[in-house]
Amino acid sequence: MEPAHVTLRQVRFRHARAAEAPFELHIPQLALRRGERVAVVGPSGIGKTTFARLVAGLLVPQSGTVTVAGTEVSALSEAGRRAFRVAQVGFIFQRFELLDYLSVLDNVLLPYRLNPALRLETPARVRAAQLLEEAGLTAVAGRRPGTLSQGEQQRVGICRALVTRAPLLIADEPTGNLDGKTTDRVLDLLFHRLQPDHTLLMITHDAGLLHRFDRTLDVSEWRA
Amino acid sequence: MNTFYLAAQHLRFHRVRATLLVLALGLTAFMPLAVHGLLARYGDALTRRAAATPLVLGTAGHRFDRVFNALYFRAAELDPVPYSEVDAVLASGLALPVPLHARFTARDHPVVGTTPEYYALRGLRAAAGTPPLRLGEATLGARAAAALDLRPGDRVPTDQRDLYDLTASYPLSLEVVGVFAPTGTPDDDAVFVDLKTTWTIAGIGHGHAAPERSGAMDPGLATAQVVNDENRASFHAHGDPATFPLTAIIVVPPDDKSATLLKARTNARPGLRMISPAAVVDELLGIVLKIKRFFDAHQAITGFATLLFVGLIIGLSARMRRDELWTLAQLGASRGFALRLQAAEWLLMGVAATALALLGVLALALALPDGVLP
Repeated sequence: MEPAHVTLRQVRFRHARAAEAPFELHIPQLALRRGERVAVVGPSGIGKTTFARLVAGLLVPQSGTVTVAGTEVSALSEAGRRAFRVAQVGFIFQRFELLDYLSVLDNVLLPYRLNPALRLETPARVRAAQLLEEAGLTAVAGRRPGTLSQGEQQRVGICRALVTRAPLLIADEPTGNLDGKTTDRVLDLLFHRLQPDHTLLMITHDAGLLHRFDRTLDVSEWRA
Repeated sequence: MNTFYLAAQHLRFHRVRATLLVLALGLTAFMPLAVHGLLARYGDALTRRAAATPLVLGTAGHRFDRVFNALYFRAAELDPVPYSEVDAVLASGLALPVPLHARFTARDHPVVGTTPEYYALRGLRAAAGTPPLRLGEATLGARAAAALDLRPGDRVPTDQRDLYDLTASYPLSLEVVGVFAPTGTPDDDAVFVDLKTTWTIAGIGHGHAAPERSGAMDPGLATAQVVNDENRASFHAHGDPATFPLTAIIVVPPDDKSATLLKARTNARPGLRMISPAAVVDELLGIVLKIKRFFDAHQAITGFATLLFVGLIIGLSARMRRDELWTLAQLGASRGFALRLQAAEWLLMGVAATALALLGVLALALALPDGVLP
């Protein structure tokens, strides 16, 4: 049997939030298959983003292990986790998080400029151009993100997440700011471009999107 | 390279803000660079000019005025040196005297009355025409000729010193007979004439022809004395030529011993002073450098205040860019990357500001004439 792409065992994460009760997640056991499309749901503030950040190695649990593609992420140093993220994880954000001073093409290629481990060479540029073409953004590749619609900006964000071909894609409410028609277009692009063996972990509040996913995880079950 | 690429894109996008910062930094750097550069340049020009003028003989008075009159033709109320002192230096056999009379101006350029020895001493060579040999003739320094747009055959009137002095003699219309090649010295700005010409301007010498209207040359000038071939012989001076005034005598001894002897003899006589321009210029530069120290301290404080402002801007900028830096971290940028990115931006702005300051200094250097005090 093929090993799981993402595994969490007896993970406990707790942090105190100012003027609020302490926040704690307890995930006894979770395994995601390689290529699985997973929706993460739950009420606001329940810990969906915290869960995603634990998987991505942006947060480290107080106990338990997080393993991605055979690497125990929770045991890595900060530099090790950063290197892991660069190689293994692509991010899509709710507010797009594009840099306003870079062109659309430069935003897509940004991971290559930030990480010495990634080489900004012809194959990367070709891949970025192909992604932009499939996203219908070739005509605006030289423009600044501020001149694009929200749907176009999120498609740029998806291209940026896909360009490094990271096998794990984490999307934090990528359609939260989009209308229904634009949401469909953006998700069509995302699901169409995602490689069959790449895993998608997407936080969403939209129950109408759940039919697109193989599995739904409700984070409220893990709230201690 | 990626850091600099992103930094350059950021500056390009925020070009107005970046330009203002570059201008502020550039101006802060420009002032001390300009002061240092100009002081070095003019200090060097002063020293060179002084070193090329062994001794200056004049009446007792302020040595700075005397030296600046002899070297830079700066008008000053100096007691005149009688022409007899030229003969006295010659008679001593210890040096070559070069008389100077520099009290008048022609269209704001100093009129310098002297003898051909001066042109030899300064290496002045006529690029067009000849040096002035006769009464009423003038040979212009290169910059004066260019500024006044004059060439051999033209005329230039001397300036009336006091329009309300009814006893004053008429201005003299000088005939331009030559233009000296440029030397990069104050000589380029002067109008050189024969000594007799300056005495005529002073009213010591005169002719008996009626003054001519010369409005074509200067509409503000009603009349001027004109010396020409027909009336030149009629010009004459009354009195003993030995008493005719000079503003200074440049004294060129062949060796240090002659210089020392001449200085000792001259300075022993009441009312006369033989001074070494090099020593006076050294003294002057010493005073200037002392003043410059205060200016340097002021610049240091201004520079420190600017650095504090830059620190404040960096702090505010980091706060304003928190979201951007968070995104970069999410995408895999190291903590050091954010610092390097901001450092690269300031480095680029610093380079631009330095280049701007240097360009400003260069433009200033090109705008100001070489070797001449502004």
